[in-house]
Amino acid sequence: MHSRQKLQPLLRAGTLSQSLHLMILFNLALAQPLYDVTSKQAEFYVAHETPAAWLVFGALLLSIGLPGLLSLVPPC
Amino acid sequence: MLGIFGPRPEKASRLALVVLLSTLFILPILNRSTDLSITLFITTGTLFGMIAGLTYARSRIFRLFLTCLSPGVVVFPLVFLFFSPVSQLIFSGNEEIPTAEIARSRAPVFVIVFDEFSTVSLLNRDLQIDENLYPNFARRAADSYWF
Repeated sequence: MHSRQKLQPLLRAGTLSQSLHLMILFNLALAQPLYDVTSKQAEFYVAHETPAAWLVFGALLLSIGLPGLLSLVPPC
Repeated sequence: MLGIFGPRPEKASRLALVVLLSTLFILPILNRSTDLSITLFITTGTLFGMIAGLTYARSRIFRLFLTCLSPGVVVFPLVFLFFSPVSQLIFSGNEEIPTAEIARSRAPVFVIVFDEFSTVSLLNRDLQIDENLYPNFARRAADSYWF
């Protein structure tokens, strides 16, 4: 039990890095290609009259929110 | 969540996500750089994903590599928002964006396109449609816009 308590910070660090791994993989696989396509065709957002706040919210959701949820899957 | 089934489902769930995301990562690259049939395309993508998952589970260096890439989580959206054409939409303030107006007139409009038709061959020396040689074209041009 005592050694388990000593290892707790390391376990938490491992959890954090594994969550980061999933987050960066999500960004590389889904978010970045979407950014790439839509930033080249910004008129898409003009045509849909997308407010600036929604763009910021969408980017945060896509890059941090969704992969953050995904990383809640318990670690190895 | 999956922890209630013991440590193995937890590990499997993470690895499955790594495999899935790695497959999704490689598919567009394969699509751009190769000309594979759909079956081979999906098989190769899945194989790459499985190799990436296996490497992730076994190799500390690969995990360290992913850790080094992790600033991308913040960098990608920042680049999208501040250093792409989208930034003009964010920092344009409340400027009116000119858009096409909806026409109220219900008059029928016809557009006729003569593809690869040489206009010059219709014209006379005054750069008007030659009504002697092409009377029907000249009559049509008289009550329409042509260019």
